[in-house]
Amino acid sequence: MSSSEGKGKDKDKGKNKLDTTRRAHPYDRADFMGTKSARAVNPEVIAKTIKKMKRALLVIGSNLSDEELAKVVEFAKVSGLEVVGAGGVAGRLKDIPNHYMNLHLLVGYIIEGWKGFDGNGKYDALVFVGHIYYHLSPMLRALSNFSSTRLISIDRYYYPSADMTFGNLSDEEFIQALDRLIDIMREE
Amino acid sequence: MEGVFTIKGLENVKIYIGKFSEEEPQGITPMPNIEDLREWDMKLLKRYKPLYTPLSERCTFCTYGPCDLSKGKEGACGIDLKTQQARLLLFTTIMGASAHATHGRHILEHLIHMYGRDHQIEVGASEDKTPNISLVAGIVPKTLGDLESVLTYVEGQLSHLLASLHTGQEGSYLDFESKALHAGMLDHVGMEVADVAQVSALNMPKADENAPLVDIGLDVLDTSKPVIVCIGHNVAAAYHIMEYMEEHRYDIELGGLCCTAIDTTRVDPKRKIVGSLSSQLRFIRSGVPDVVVVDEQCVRTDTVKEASRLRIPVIATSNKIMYGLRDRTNDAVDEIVEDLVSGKEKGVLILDLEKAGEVAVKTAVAIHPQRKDYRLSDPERISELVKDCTGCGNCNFQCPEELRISEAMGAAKQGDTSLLQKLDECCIACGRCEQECPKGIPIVDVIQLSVLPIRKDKSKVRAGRGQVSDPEIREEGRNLVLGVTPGAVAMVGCPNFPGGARELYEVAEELVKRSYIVMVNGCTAMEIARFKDDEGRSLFERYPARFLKGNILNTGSCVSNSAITGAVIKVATIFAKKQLLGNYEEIADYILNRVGAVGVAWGAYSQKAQSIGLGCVRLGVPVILGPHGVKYRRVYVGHTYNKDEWWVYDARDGSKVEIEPAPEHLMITVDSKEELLPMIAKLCIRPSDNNFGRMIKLTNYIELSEKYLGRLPDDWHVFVRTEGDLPLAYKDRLLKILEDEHGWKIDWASKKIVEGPMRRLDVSFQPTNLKKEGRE
Repeated sequence: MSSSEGKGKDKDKGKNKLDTTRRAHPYDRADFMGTKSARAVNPEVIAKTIKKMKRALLVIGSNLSDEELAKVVEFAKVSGLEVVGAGGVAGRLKDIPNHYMNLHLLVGYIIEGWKGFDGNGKYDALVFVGHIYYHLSPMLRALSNFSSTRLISIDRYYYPSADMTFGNLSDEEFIQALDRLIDIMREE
Repeated sequence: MEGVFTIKGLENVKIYIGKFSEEEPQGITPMPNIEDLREWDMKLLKRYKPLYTPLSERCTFCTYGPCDLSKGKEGACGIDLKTQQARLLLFTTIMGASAHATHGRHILEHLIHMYGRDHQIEVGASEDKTPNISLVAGIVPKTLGDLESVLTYVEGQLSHLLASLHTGQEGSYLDFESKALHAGMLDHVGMEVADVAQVSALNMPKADENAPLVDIGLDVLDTSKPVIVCIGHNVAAAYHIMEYMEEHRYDIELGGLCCTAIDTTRVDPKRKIVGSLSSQLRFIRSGVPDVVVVDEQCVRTDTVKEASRLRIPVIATSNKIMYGLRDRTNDAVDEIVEDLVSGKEKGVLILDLEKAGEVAVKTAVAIHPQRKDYRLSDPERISELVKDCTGCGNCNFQCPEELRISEAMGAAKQGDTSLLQKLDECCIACGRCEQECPKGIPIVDVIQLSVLPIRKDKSKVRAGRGQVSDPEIREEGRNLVLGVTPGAVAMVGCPNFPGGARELYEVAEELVKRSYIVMVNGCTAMEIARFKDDEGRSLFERYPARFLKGNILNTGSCVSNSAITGAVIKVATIFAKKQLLGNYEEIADYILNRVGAVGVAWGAYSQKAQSIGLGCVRLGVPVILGPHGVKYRRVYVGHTYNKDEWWVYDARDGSKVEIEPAPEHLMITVDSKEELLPMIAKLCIRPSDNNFGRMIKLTNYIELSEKYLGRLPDDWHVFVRTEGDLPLAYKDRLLKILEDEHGWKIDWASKKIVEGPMRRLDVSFQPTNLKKEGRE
C-alpha cells in the first residue's frame, strides 16, 4: 500500500496542495481480502495514463451529487471517453452521448471479451467514478482476476483491486481532484 | 401412520406399527439426489453464466493454506478462484437451507408433541397443499407425521452437499453451482414443511385474502404495561407465552421482532410487530422490553450483552442459540424468575417451551416496575453524548451503508440534529460504527435519540395470509402465463436496503399501481408497512390481498417464501395441468418459459436469502438483488450478444426456435431503485406471452425505463414480434424508430411490420428447453 496515512507531514501537505494519495485504505475497512493493494496516485498520473489508452470506457455510477455529476460530465467531454451510465445514473446523464448498461452485466461482458458498444473491439481500460463502494469493489476484484483490462478509479474511494485509484477523499477533495483531471485533460 | 393393536385370541401379543408411508414417492425424479437434476442445472448455467465477484482471493479452509488464488493461481489442492467462489457459495447456501430445515424439524416435532402425528395438514382451499414438497419429494403428505420423512430426505441431502465441500472433493465450479441450486431447491421444501405445519396446527390464516391488519412499529406497544419481546423466526416459544398469558389473564404487551413477530400475529392478531432485523438493537437499546425471548435465526449475537446493560433478562429457547447461558430447563419456575428479576442471572436457557412461556410472563410482571428508569427517553442528552466527537471519520469507514455519520455527528455538536434524523431512515443499527469510535460514543443511541421527538412509528401490516389457493390460481394463472397480468413480483429479503426502506415501499407501490401481483413476506413486509400515503394508510390498508393483479399479498414469515414458489408451481400444475409429483424439471422448464414471475431481494443480507434465491433460480424464476447482493459473490447473467444461447424447442414438433432473451438473466444486482424497476419489467417477459400480454409488459418496460432511466431501453425492439406487441399509446413513434434505426420494413397504410422481427408471433408456440418434450 502506498498510503502515507499517519505521517505528520501529510497533515500540512493536505492543507496547501491536493494530495489524492492519502488515506489509501479500503473505504470499508474490512474489505481487505485481496492479495494486492492498488496504487494510490494523484490526478496527474491518472490523466497521463488515460491519455495513453486507445479505447477506454468511462463507467459512471449513481453515487454522485449534482455538482459532482456535472464535473464528471465535464471530464467526459474534455477527455473524449466513451461513456456508460452503469445504473440509475443513466436518467441523469443529459449532456453527453452515453449508453446505459447494468454494472454487473458490463463486468460480465468485459470478462467474456465483449467487443464494446460499437463492436469494434475490447476496451483497454475502464475508468470508474460515482459508484457505491461495496457494489464496485468486488466487481473490480472480478475484473482484476478474470480480465486483462486496465482498471482506473477516479472515484472518491480507495479501491484496493483497481490498478490505480485515489485515496479516500473528502467531498471537497473529490471536487478538486475532478477539477484537476479536467484541467490536465484540457492541456494538450 | 403409527399405532398399537392386538389380535383377538392373541391378547398377550401386541403388534407395534412404527411408521409407513401410504404411498411411495412418484414421478420422474422423486426425492432427487445431487446428480438427478444436474442436466437441468447445466442447461441453465450454459445460458445464464455464473459471474463471480470474489470478496477474497484466498482460501483458508485447510492447513495447506492460506493459498493465494489470484490471477489464475491454484491452491495447494488444485482449486482455482472461480471454483473456490462456487464452493463458498454452496457453503453459505447450505447454511441458509439448513437453518430453515432445522427450523422445520424443531417446530414439526413440537407440533407433533402437541397435536400428534395424525393431525391433518390444512392450509386452505387447495388440492395441492404442499406444492414444493410434492414436486420435489413426489409424495402428498396428509398429516404432520407424513412431513417427517420429507425432512429426513432434506437433511440427508444437505449432509451430502456439505461433504462435497471438504478439501479434495468437488473440483468443478459448475458442479458446485449445481449443488448450490440443489440446496436452494431443498430450502423451499424445508420452508414448506415449517409453514404448512404451523399453519395447520396453530390455526394461522389459511390462504385467507382477508387476513387481519395488525399493528406494526417501534411505537405500537403500550409501555405502561410489562413488555415481552420475542426475537427470531420460530413461533413455538412465543406461542406458549401467548397461551400462558391467555390462560392466566395477564395484561402484558407481547411484541415481536423479525419473523417470529409476523407469526405471532398470524396466531393472534392482537399481538404486535415491533419491526424487522434492523430494529433489534434499536429496540433493545430503547430499554422498553422487560424481557427478551430469543428463538432462532437472525438474532443478534450480542443480545445478552446489550440487554444486560439495561437489566433486561434474556430467555434463550433453542439449542441453536444458547449464548453460554445456564440451562435451567429442569429448574423450578419461581427460582428461575427470582434469579432473573434479581439480576443474579443475565439470562437463562429453557428448552421446555411451556416453562419458558411461564417464566417470561412472570419475570416481565415482576421486573417491570424496576425498569422504568432504563428507558432511552431524553433527546437533550445528545449534546452531552456527541461533545467528544473529533470528526475522525472512522465511523464512516465502518458503516456498511456508507452513511455520512461523521458529518451528522459534527452537525449535532453544533446543535443541528437534522442530519442524524436523516440517517435514521437508512441506518440498519448494526453498531459497527461504535466499535471504531475512539471516544466510545454510542452512535446508535444518538441517532435514535434524535428522532424520538418526531417519531411516530405506528402502522398496519396484513397478517401473513398463507398460501395462494387453487381457486386463486384458476382465476389468475391464465393471465400470468399469457402476460395479461404483467408479472408476479416477490419482494423478499431482510433489511440491508441501500437507500433505506422507503425505496422498497416506493417500488412496491409503483408495481401494484401498474397491476403487478406483489408478494411480500418477512422483513420486507414489515418495512414496506411502515410507510403511508397522505391519508395515513399503509399499502396493506390500500390494496387487497388476493392473488390477482394490483394486489399485495403478505404470505407470512420467511418460511412462507415457499408459498411464493408454491404459487408459481401451481400455475403450471393447475392452469397447464402439468404433473406435479416428482416432476421438477418439466415444471421448472414451464415456469422459466411461461410464468412471468420475478424475485426481488432488495435488502438481502443473510445466507437464508441466498438459498431462497437459488431455490427460485432452479425453478426458473429470475432474482434481482440490491447492490449488497454482489457480496453473495455470484450472479447468473445472460449474454444477449451471444445469439447461440437464445433458442428453445417448440414442444409441438421438437423444432429449434430462436427466441428473444427472455428472461434475460437469472440473477443480477442493480444499483438503485431507478435501475430496479425497469429491470423487473424486463425480466417478467417470457417467450410464451401472447401479443396482448407482450404489449402490456413492453408498455411497463418502456414507461419505467423512460421514467427512471430517462430513455427508451436499448433493447426494447428485440421483444417485438408483431405490431400487436407494441404499446398502443406509442405505436406510431415506435414503428418509426423500428424503421429508421433498426431497418425494419413497415407498411404505414396498415401500420403493420412487414420485415424485421427475429421471430413472428405464433399463438400456439410451446417453448421448452427440454428436448424430450418436443416430438423429434
